[in-house]
This record gives sequence, structure tokens and C-alpha cells, in this order.
Amino acid sequence: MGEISPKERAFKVLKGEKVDRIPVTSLAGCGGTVNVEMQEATGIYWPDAHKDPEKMAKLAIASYELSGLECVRVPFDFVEEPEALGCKIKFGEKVDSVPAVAEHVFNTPEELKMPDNLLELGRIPVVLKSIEILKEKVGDFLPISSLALGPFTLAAMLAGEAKFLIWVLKKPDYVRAFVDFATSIVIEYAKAQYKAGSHIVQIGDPTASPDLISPDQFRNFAMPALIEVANNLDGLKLLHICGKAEAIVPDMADCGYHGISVEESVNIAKIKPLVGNVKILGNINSKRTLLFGKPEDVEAEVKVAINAGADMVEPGCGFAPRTPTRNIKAMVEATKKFGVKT
Amino acid sequence: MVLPSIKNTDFIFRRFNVELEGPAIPVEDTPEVKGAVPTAEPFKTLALAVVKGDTDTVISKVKDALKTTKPLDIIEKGLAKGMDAVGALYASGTYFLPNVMVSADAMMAGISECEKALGKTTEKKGKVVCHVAEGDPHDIGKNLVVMFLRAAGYDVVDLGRDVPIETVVDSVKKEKPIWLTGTALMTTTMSNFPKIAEKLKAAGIDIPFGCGGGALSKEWVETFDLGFFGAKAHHAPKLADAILKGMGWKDLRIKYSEVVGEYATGKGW
Repeated sequence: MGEISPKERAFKVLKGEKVDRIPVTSLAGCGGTVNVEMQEATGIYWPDAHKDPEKMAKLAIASYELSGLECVRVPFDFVEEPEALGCKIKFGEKVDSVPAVAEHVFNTPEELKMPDNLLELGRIPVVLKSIEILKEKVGDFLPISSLALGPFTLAAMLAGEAKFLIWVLKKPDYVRAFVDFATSIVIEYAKAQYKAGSHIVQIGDPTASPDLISPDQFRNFAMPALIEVANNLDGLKLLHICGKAEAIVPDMADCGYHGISVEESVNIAKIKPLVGNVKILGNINSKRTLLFGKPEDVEAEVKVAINAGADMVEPGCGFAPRTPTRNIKAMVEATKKFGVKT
Repeated sequence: MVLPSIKNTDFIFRRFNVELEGPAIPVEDTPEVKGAVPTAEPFKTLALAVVKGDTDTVISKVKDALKTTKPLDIIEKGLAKGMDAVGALYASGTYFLPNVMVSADAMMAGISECEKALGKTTEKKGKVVCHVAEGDPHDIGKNLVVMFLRAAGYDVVDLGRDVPIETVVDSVKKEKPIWLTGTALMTTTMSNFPKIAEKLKAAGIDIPFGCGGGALSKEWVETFDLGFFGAKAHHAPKLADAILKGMGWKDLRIKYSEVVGEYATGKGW
């Protein structure tokens, strides 16, 4: 009997079945799996790769080939939905610039209109096509994950974060209407990702983090929508919230996702008893350790995460574009060394 | 297409954990507010209205107070004290960003009423230039720094977000501020800060460059000259006061906690 594939291993873990070893992946997080070195090695660069499905898929596969990370993931940014709905995006010209919303366009709930052709708008077709390519090329062997925004985060992007956070106190009915609208968008987009061939959909909801809103506000405004999304998605699904999320971890676990992705400020050993059967993904420090640290720092932190009870070893919030490949490799090697199940 | 509704939340299991969330103390009875808000009227009412982020009350109470009280006293002894309390509530984890932003809005509305009464903008203590790193659209932290500084009587040149290095350097040359601040949430944008510091040094400008935001740490900021790490937005007025009295970036690195009056971690990450 040969070794099982990374895809099978990831599936088994998320479904709660026994595996030979802990997977080492980056299925979730705000950062992606592709760094600058990988762009240089393949000659495929950002921002082009954000807009071309072939290039996007090739870079995603390169991230596996060059680092050994046991997954592929697209897209590399998280502004597809606001872009499709009309927000202006700044792509940046550098190989390490991450596309971001430059202009928010919605001011009242009346302006929100569900488009008939969401899946044809902006770069949504690019991402879906890229998922199709990945499915054909590596879909039997590697888990494919894709990103849809959490409804609260998308709603805040549509209105502009500063205005939206004030609405949380001053116009809660606006917040509900925006989150409600965003929920429909997220569900339709996420379903299309599964249909295109994605195995695992990551719902990334960084704006719902206790770094920005209180745990009570999370429960009132963000959580019901996250539950609604989870209830409508049949495939494997993950919830990522970065920042100091420890106070809302039990709530995240109640939202109905197979796994939750947390960053380094969350103590995995402490939250392990609070999450039931929900799997914990994390939580190697994306900045201090992976971006700026040495391979031996990465190895030490992987060991800590595994001992604390991480079900899948991942960066706390994806990889920053300048993360050295040797540190990603160190994360992979350390997991293979310390993650064997007996 | 059927739009899913999230209005029906009857079947969501909710925890009510009193121990975790703490007893419901009215905000005016918290030690943070009692420690910062004055007991004398009309300042107490004004400060509390800021704490509660109640813009309408702030405006109407400022108008009342202007009949008997000097505009500058209203700002310094009332509105600004309310904002001090908000800073303390934020530091202790009672208030989150929405509260701080709403209170800041209310306070700015009050200050603008006072300035109307003065017939001119109030005399400023000194000038500060604030910006968010090029490529970074995250400006909430910078906006808070700007509001805290304006509340404390500083003239702020707000360059906004996603600001190119040259624009920052030119602005410092032109405005001659006592202090420059830069914020960044993303690791990809913070590398602009040492470049700015270098250009300022090359131009013979030796002002403190306060850098803060999610991507940064004290350790990293101190790798380049002029830089010192700003841990929290509400520290800004105390830092500005110290700089005004002549404290430079080298001392700010060492005496930060002493200056802001509370323990500050060196971690933005």
C-alpha cells in the first residue's frame, strides 16, 4: 500500500477520519500560497496572473512544485466580489502588491442590486476558469481550495470599512441589509467554485475579527450570515478569521464549517477543547516567523503547533509575498518530521 | 433566484456566558470613565456625550455651554477628556473600533461648534503630518491617530492612504511638522518607511517618524534611524506633547511607556 495523496489526506482530516500524518497546507488565510521567488522561477508575474486563468493556475501549481506545500489555492487576492459589484480596484504594479479596493461605491441599501450575471462579472470568470484548469491538471492528487469572502467583510468593502464600522452602532439596519445582500453574493459565488472543481471553499472574514468589532457585534452581525453561508454549501468548507480571535473561537466553531483557520495569537491548546469536532488549521506566524524568521524558527513553531493540537499545519494568515521559499519548505519538512501519527 | 434570509435566527444556539462577558456596568460607572471624565459641569455632560458617541447631544450641549464657558475650555476640559476616557476603554478591551470611531465623530462635531463660536480655528500646539504607506488602503488606524491629535489641539496634515514616498517627503519639507506618522497593515507596504526615513535624513531633517499598524513591530521599526514604534492610536497626543517639549526619536524608543503612561507591547504582529 503506497502513501495516500495529499488530497485524500486533507479530505480525511476534514471529515474526521484517521490519517498517517498531519497535512501541511495553506487552504485558508488572507495571504496566498505564491511568493515572489515562485513568480521569478516561473516567469509568471503579478499583477498579470491575477487576471489570466492559465497564469493563475500555473503559479498555483508552481507553489506546490517549488515548496512541497500539499495543496493548490486560487485566487491570490480577495477583492473579486467587490470588483464584480462595481468597486474600483487598485492592482499595483509590483510583484508583491496585493490588489485592494480603491473606491467603495455603495452608500445605502437601496443601491444594492443582485446582478443577474454575477458569475460573468469582473474577474470571477477568471477564477472559475482557473479552478477548472487546476481540477484537470492536479485535481486527482492535490486538494484545491478557493476563496469567497465572509459576508460581513464583503459588506464592509462595499460600503467602505470606516463608514461601515460606524454603521454597526449608528445604522444597524443598514449593516443587516448590506450583510444580507453580501450573503447572497457569497453563496452564489462559492457554489460556482465547487461546480468549477474546487474541493474546499474558504470563507475569509477578517473584518469580523475582534481586532475590529466586539464579540457581541460578531454574534449579532457576522455570525448569522456565516451560518447561512455554511448551511447553503454542500462541499468541504473552512472559516478563516485572523487577528486576536480567541474570544470568538467557540462561535466560529458553531458556524458549521469543517475547519477553522486561526493565527498565532490564538492558543491552539486552549481552544482545542472548545471546538468539538471542528478541525483547527494554523497557526505558524505569517510575519515574524515565515516572512522574517529562519528555517529553524519555522521548525520550532511547527513543533509547537502540532503539540498544541493543530489538525492541519498552515500559516496563520497565508504567506506574505516576500516569504522565502526556504521557510515554506521548512514548514513542510518539519510537519513531515513531527506530524506522523502513531 | 431565491434570496436567502438571515433574519430568522431562532435556531442559532447562543451562549450567554456572564463570566466571560462581564456584568453589564453602565459605561459612565467604569473606572476608565471615572478616571478621565471631570466631575464639574458642564464638562462632565460634554465628556460623557463624547464617550457615548452621541453627536446630537454633543452639539446641543456645546451650544448651551458656549453661553457660559470659553470655547477652549469646552474642548480641553470637556470634549478631549471624553476622548481620553474612550482611549482608556479601548485599551481595556471594553470599547472596540466602532465605539471609538463614533465617539471621535461626536467630538469633532463639538470642536467644530466651538471653532464656529471663536470665529477662527483654535490656536494649534504644533503640526503633525500623517499618512498611510503607499499600496496600503487600510486607513482606520491613521484616521484614529488624526482624530486623537486634532482633539488634543494639534494641526494635522492628513495625507490620506496609499501615499507615495515622494509625496510624504515633500510634505514634510513644506509643512515642517514636529512629527511624522506612518501606518501600514500589510507587510508588503511597510518597506516604504525606511526609504522615507533615509530621504529625510539625506535632506538633513531629523524629526521623529512614528510608525505603527498591524504589520509592524518595535524591533523592525528600530532598524532604521528616525523611526520609533507607535503601539496604539490613542497614545498619539501624549507622544506629540513629549515631542513638542523636545524629545527626539532616540529617547522616544526608550521612554515610550513612560511617555504614554501605560505598558505598551512592541508587537503589531
